[in-house]
Amino acid sequence: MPNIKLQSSDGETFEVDVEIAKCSVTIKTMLEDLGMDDEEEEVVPLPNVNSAILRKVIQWATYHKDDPPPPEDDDNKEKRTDDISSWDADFLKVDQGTLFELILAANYLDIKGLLDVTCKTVANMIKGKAPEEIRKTFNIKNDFTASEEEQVRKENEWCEEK
Amino acid sequence: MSHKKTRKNRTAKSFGDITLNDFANSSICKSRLKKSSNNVNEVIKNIKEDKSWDEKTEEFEGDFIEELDEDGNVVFVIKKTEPRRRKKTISSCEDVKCGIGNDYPIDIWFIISSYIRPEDVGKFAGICRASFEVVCTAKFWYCLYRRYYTSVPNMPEQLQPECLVRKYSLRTSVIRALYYMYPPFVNKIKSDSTTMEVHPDILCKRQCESLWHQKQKGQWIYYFKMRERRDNTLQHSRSDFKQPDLLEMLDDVSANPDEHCRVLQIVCKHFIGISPLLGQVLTSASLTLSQGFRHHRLQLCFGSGVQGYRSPDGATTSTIVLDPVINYKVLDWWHPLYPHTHSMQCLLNHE
Repeated sequence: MPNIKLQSSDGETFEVDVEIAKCSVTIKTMLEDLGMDDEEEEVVPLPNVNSAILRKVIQWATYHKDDPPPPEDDDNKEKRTDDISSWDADFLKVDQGTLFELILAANYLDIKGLLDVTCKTVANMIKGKAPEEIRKTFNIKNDFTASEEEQVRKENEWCEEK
Repeated sequence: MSHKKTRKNRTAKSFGDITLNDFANSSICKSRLKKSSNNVNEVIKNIKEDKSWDEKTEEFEGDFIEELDEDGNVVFVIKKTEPRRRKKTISSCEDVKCGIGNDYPIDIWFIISSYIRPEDVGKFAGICRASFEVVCTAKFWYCLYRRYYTSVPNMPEQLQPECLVRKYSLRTSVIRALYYMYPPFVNKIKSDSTTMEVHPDILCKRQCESLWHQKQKGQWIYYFKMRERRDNTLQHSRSDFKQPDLLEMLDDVSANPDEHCRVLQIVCKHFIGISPLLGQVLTSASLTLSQGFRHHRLQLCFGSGVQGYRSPDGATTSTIVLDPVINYKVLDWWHPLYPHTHSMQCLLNHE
């Protein structure tokens, strides 16, 4: 199996099977557009992904390498969030910062399966929680003033669960 | 004696001269570089730091303080004050105190937004400004509508996909549509629709904005549109002070003339004449059983909302008695039974 070298933003190089790397549409397109031969010892720079996150992405892609291609995104369909596999659920038992960075990396690398499962995890963690609890869970800065917060709450009375 | 003299001299010198100690402790290297420091970046950094004397004076954050030495002589000592920078960090620490945590880019909130259920929209919007901004976009509402669209027989034409094309008031339309087609919301309405579940006194302190009635199947239905009195409403996109531009208005996704409005719908057996109430504030509402105990008697008291105000005829309040009342409902603007208009002209005139 030919390998490819991926370089993270902090300069670390990862040697990965080309087929695994190609689960990222960004990398796949890059290789095709640049006409990089499988035998070439080229390094693919990924300036938006650091080594810790790239390691996780490769781990995920390696586990899912034999998965069928994900179905085309249907915007007209309700997205289920309760269909996360147990392996993925365990894989995503990470701190909130890593989870958000994985979303950004999956979006940049265009790995639909990983983007889907990470977003579903966040959406599930948001379910039924008050904004203050969500902020606490994900360590997010509250940049609202007290009156703005109250206004947002008032405006969204339509979806309040009684 | 000579010893004293030297001390005196030294104290005088301490005002302006640089001591060997000061020189040794200087952060800027004045001598030639050490052989070990062969790092080019470090050298460049040192060169960059070399500033002219007047720049350094401006940056100097110390004070000359008069002090008495052991011999009782006045000595000027340079006391380094805490750098201003430090102060800034303290105040910024205080600012952050109210909002400690991470600040994620808006892109992440856009991605996550397509996985949010309708009942979590409010919580999602309330996380931070970036998530709130996402909820204010037309894309968010179009996506939410498309994801949960199902053909339902009773949904009004103006909430059907082919009519939902303009940005103006898109949020309002999508929310209203969800109350026709999204099962958890439909069920919520069903459970709420149990007649007379909410006491009309919930509308106290609201202002009567409009009032009308209609005859239906031999019954008289009265509608009181009650608006919450708000002193300062933060606008989503437009400033209160400037005259809004028409094109800007047409792009206002969050426009909703019925925001903060509730309608009290009362079904009466007979026609009851009601005096003009527009602009008056509901002060009390009492619900009792009517004669014969089959229906209800609803008494609504309205006032001017201004303390101590008396109308020209001397009355401070207007009282309306609706009897017999067969049924009543308090309808929020998103309720499918809430009476509203979809005419664009009407909506814009309202604005």
